[in-house]
Amino acid sequence: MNDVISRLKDATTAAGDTISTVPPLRLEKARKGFLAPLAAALAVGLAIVGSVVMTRGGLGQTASTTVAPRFIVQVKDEYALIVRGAGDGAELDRIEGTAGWFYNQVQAAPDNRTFYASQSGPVLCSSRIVRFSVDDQGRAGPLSEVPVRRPDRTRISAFAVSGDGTKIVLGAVPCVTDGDGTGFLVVADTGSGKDRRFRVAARTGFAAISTSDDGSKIAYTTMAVDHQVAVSEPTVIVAPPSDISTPLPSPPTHEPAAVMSVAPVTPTPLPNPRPTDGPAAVWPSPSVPLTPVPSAPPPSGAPERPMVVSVPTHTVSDRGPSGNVVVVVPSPGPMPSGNFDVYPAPTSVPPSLGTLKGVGSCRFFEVREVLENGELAPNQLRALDCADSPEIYVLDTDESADPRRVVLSGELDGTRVQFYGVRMSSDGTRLIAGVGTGMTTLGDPRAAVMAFDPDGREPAEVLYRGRAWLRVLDLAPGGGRILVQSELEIGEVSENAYRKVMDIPGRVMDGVVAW
Amino acid sequence: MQAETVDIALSSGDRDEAISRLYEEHALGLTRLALIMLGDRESAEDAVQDAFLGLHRRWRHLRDPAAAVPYLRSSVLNNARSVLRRRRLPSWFAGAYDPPVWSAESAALLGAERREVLEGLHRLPQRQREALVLRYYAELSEEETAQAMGVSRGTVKSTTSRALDALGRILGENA
Repeated sequence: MNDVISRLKDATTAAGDTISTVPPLRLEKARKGFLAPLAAALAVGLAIVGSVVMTRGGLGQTASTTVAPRFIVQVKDEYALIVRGAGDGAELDRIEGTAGWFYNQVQAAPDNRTFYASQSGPVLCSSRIVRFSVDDQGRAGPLSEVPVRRPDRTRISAFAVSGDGTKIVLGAVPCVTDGDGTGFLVVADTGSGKDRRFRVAARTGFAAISTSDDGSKIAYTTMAVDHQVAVSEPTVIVAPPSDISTPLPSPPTHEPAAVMSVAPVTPTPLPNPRPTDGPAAVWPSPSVPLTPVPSAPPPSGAPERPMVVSVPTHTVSDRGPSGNVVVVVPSPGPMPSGNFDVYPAPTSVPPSLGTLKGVGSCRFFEVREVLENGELAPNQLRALDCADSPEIYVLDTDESADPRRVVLSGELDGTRVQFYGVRMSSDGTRLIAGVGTGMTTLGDPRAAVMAFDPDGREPAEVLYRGRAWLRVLDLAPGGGRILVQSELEIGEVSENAYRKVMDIPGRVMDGVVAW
Repeated sequence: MQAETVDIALSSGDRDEAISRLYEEHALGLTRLALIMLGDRESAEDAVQDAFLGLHRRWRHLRDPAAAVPYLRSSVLNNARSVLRRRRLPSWFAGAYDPPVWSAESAALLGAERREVLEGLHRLPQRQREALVLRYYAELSEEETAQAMGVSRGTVKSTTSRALDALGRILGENA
């Protein structure tokens, strides 16, 4: 025991000693009333901007104005935005919020100096867009509110700035869910605030919005956080298809092992896993571990031989667009240790319940923790990222008030792909998506960035391959530079090459990262 | 890091100066404590800043100068718990944070053996982890640890014992 204590003291002291200085005390934050109770947990937003030169977009489209980004703006948490250098991620400035208002998302305008951020306020239904600028050294100026309006009793769920900087597209949804899933797309002039409004089906919120450069064409995805997500425990083989030498085990037919959701709300009875007709209620995350792993996974990459691993799958009991559904593991425990393995489920494995569409390929990391009684818990997989729904909605505001539903579909090396982040190209004629086959490993990348035609049925072009995990976060104005998350990095894809921007130890939220 | 009693002025006019002095004396130690709880420097600094801001706001309610440092310590722990809770939320609600000091990226800095201990420490339940860090890193007494964690002294004793057993098993398992 003394040895454990000695090692503990030594390790903690060494870790503590890695800090030798602290930043100055910032008492002004208290004067601004920043200690008000917090209402929302927020995501990471990054906006990367660059200076303006003429170049041709890497997607073979209209020439536009992009170069290498100079600054990154990150929504650090509810309180602050951080301006970072795009080269090394170093913090250059920090923009505190205003009392009672918390940051949600950030977007960059094409002038490379102006940023927009959405904020939620202290009372129900309060949300707004603010604007600020940075100088050549990355120092931020004051915040000012952008005069855009939204329909009554709605809040801003997501937003985008057009590539020419003249329009803001707001996705607004009712503050109190009324069950019919109606939302609004508001296309507003950034200067005057004059707007056009489109009533659309938005489920419980907009996940990501992107626009063409002129803001006339809009692509968006929706969230389905109030839909039932049943998690069962089918067993699948994790290995490339050619290596699978044993037949797939029969999927279990029992009731789902757990029902999980993406947001904690009022509990409702455990639903039957059969698809239901109406919008489903949310089931709170139960305190159960997710899918024990029967054997230790290899350190990284694919197993050398087929390996049976329990991988969570999901059924979304609704009839419409499934939206984004991500496995949430509610059991308490340590954070990811920095080591993680990619264990996607093959898309060919039949689901035990419902459909695997859009949610069948997740990236996991493995954790093992000690229970309160001192026992070691079985290994657990925690989902880091799951595929998005292939369903995208496209609205041409010059042509129609009704969005068109596009279901993306494509193959990579003969295997059907799933989708990780989709954005509209600068000219509005293509959808740019991160894709993966569900079989990718760190050593054998089966992921890509693809361009799809407006019908979405087949990829028009593979823009980049070479990394094991690619999620499209945003396109720079002109579309030649694509901001992606690759493994635990933020990076840039341009001219069929990848450049690391910075490390990030988790998923960057889709829809709140822009450049 | 020993528990300390400080002599602080309680008048509101001296508030900023007194808090600045406290910050000067204790911010580094508290930040190191938060770093061990959270793993990344930025989150640790934020947790400490927020603790001092909380003290600043509640200054006029502080009756005993000696209570300031225990208050800050408890506040840092609370803030760290909040950060950890947020990180367990769905990924799009969780903020980004730098790789923890016990991550593979930091192995070269700390050494594999220390990293193994820190990693093991963070596999423990929150309460056990806090008890070990406060008792053996911050070198607080059982009484002071109980005060910081908001539990009884008996709970500290039993939790610490179970935590040491569990950590020992983890380290033995990895050996």
